[in-house]
Amino acid sequence: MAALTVVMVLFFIMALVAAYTNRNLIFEQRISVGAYRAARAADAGDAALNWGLALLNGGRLNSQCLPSTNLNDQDFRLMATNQPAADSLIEGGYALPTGSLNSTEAVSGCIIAEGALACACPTTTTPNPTITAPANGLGSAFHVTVFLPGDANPKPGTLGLLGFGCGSLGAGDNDCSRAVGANAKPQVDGVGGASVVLGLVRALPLAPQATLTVGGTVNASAGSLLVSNPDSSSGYTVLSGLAYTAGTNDRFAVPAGTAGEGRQHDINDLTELVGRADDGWFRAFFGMDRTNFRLQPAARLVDCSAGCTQADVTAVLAGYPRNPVVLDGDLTLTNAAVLGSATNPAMLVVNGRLTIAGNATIIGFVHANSVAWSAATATLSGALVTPGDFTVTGTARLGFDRAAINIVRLRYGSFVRTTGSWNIRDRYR
Amino acid sequence: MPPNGRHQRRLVRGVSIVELMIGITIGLFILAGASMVMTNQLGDNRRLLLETQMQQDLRSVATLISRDVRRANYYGKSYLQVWTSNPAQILVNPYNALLPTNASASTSLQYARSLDDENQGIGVDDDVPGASELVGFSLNSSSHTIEMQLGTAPAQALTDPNVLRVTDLSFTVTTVNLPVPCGATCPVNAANCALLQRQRQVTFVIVAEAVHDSRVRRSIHETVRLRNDRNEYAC
Repeated sequence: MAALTVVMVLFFIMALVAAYTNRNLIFEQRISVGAYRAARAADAGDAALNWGLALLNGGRLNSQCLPSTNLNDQDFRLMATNQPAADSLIEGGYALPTGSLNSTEAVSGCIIAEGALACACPTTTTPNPTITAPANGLGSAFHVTVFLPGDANPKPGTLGLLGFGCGSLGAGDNDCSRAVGANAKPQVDGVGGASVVLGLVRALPLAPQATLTVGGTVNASAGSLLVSNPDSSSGYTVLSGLAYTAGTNDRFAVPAGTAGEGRQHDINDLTELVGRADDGWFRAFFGMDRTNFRLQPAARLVDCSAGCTQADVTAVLAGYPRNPVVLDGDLTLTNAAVLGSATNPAMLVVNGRLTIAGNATIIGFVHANSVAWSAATATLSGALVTPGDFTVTGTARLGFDRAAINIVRLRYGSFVRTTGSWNIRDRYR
Repeated sequence: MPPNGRHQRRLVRGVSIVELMIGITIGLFILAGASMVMTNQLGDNRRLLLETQMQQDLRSVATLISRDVRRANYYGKSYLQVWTSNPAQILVNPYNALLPTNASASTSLQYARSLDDENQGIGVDDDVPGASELVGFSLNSSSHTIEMQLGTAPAQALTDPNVLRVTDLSFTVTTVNLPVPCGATCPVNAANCALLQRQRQVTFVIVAEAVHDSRVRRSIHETVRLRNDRNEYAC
């Protein structure tokens, strides 16, 4: 009995000593946990930028930031910015929506729980939305806002992203998936922020000078070609590299006060561009070669190896109305269809032959390897460019639409990071 | 009336000397074993503590280096590259210094990054790398610490010389040249675009030993991709 008592007392003392000597270990382990949480928060903040950039190059989104084909939904660029008409502010400049947090910002955010993202995107009425957190409260979160870099003067084609991430979700005034106020200090497990400035690589850097630009021949001998260009800054109706064969009832309308038809053919510069080995034609119009154009983040690729119809194009434009659509193969429009609109003009790049056999209405910019137009009442409002031949056997009606072309020229393309623009941000907002 | 023998035996209480000695002997055996276990545990604990402290110090300094290196060459006015009418503007970043420039290992790393917009609107910059905007990390071979140099200020030790003895520090910068899509190719070699984007990453290795027990050696190896690439003229 005595031995047992003595041993038990000694064991108790040893346990106390062991616990005492382990205090540093416990302390170090707590530091490790702190470092882990800080790293997790910093990574979440960095992820916010990548997520925001991906959305900027994506299509139409619903309020959960998921792809949508609902015509009432907008893409992320329109959610997060105002895009003034070309000449009302500065060409290609952006403005931030008012009435939201800090009177300037629209906020998007996500909760990352068990490997899945649950997100919320801003709307006009809810610029700083809330996400329902998982019941167990576990996960990371981030939010991202768009800003205009530099001073108050808008920089054409430029936007900034500011992302903040947290090692835990937070709630209420500490909710990390939404902005809670400038310089707030949310009670969460670590906060990490970063910013980056983006530049828009335009899908169509230069507007065509003519309603119809053709590298090869224009042959309307079996049809009629009706082309107008009321835009005095461009002025041409048809420019072709090779011969023009007139149709029975061709008409060309030019800006008021301008003489002639605004039409030129046998232009050596165009045939030279077509003949260049370095994809010179494509580079001249799009600022990059065809391969890189297909690979840009905003481009939507459609496999048309078996041929595409207006249904394929309509389906893509429903989800991505303001993205360049690249069709790899021939496109045949056989039925009446409306592709594009005045607010969301279509940009179609057909890596094949474009056949307009149905009474389609196209608003926007179209590039195709060659064009065959047999429809009787189809129209194109915008501009059409082809390095090949343009053959009309029906009645081709084309009109230059400066407003539509400007939207394509100034707003369409891919946002990319500008070199030297990434930085850590510690001021939470 | 004298007590009988049966009553006498009942009055004898406690343990005999023999029982006590046997109990103490058993207790001492158990205590000796427990002491041995405890001694080993204390030794292990001390070693574990040293290792943890080392690990902690190494991880802290690695985190500090990698977090700052990630933003190397930050320039507040990078937006000037966008839609510029002056192509030379694309190549201008006054903060693009980074040493070493090649893949050979170095014991120090130096670079610039702008701090001009820390408390202002993002994008403000004076275009001049100031003293506090030049950063360097190096090994002090006399104190065996890793030091951070901010401009002309005295270098600050990032590791505790009472805990950690840094025996080796090396930085290696590797680059990958990414083609940039272009509208116009080089005048001579028409296959190339005039610009390329230089992506860089810094790999650093820290080797250290515990001051109180040189047998405790640890190393940490980390690769950081600089978030800020560099534009280069490619023709």
